[in-house]
Amino acid sequence: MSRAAPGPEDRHAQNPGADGGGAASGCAVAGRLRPGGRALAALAGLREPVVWVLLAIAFFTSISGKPLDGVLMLIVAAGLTWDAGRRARRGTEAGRGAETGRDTKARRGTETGRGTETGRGTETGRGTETGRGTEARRGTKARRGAEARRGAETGHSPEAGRGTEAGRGAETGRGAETGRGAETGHSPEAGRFALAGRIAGVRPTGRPDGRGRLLAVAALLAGGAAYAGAVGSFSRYSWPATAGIIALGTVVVTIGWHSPLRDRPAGGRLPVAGTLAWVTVLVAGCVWELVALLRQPSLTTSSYSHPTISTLTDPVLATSPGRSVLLLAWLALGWYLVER
Amino acid sequence: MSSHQVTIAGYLVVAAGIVGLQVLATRTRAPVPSLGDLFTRAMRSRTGRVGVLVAWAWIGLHFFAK
Repeated sequence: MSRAAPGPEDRHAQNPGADGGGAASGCAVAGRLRPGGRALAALAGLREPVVWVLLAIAFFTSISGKPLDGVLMLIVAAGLTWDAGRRARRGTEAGRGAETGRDTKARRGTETGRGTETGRGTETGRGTETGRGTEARRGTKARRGAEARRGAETGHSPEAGRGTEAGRGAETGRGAETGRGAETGHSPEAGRFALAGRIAGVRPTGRPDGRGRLLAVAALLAGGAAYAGAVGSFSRYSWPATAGIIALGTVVVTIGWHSPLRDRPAGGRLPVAGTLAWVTVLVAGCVWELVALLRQPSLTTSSYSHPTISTLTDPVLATSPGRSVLLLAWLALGWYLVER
Repeated sequence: MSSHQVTIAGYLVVAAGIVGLQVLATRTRAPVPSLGDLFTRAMRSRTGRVGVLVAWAWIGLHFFAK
């Protein structure tokens, strides 16, 4: 179907000015920061309290006679600062992009409206449905679902039920899952089943997740025991022990840097009073440890009268089995945290 | 009571507080989040996640590494 010649509104809409595509390019130019601005954006990462905590740890660890720990903490703090700044910059650009996208959508909507007025109703209708479907990620499939749903409402199509579900899925934003099922040739129910299966811990193949998980846990336990035995056999503060700890720490932090191992519900707000109670206890523990540290003859000389936790654990860590047991506990804590 | 005993008693009080709050959170209906909830909340963002994991790595470094 031929397209009507653009009217004055069309020319305005296609004009690369402050909206539409012109705005996109304009924003892209505006989004490109100068080197100085980029450095300032990177420093925005310093707004993260975690960065300051890491810098404090780096400082105190270094003056306590463990410069390697301090350097590693410094590296992570610098990396986090850079990363947080980069994401903040991207967020700003994405915000501008979203505004541009809204402008473009509004412009398209105007064009569609005009199309109806000029007698291009059928094409416009398709465009509208496809547009909705695209927002639900799978436009064509969702449209079919919506059409079938209309059939169901009038009581005609035998596949109306599926269409109804697909239509609902698209409307309620579950179009992605529904569409995936439809795209791969499965019914939307299959798509939903797969999703429910993932939530319930059952794989789409029907094999329960529990067995695989059990095997993984057994392998992890065996690996953890081997690691704890090997690293625990090295004398404390030796280079082999240091290498083992740094290697595992790097792996775990790298995993955490990318994404959580599994999705967890966002959850609501934590109860304020209960959270404050936790903060009080944990801060009290840190302060107590700090007081003991500062009451030592020096930061690097332990005191019997004011023992730190490190001093109290020295007798256990002096033996190889003791080191292995504490390493196992450290590994278990790490696994617990990685799974958060 | 010697300074040594007082210092250790302080650690025990903190440990008892942690255990007590965790029991309150998991065994009663008191409005207290569990330690897991706290960690999950803290680790929702990347900086929080990396911060907690680095703290864990630091414990290993502190007790075992050079």
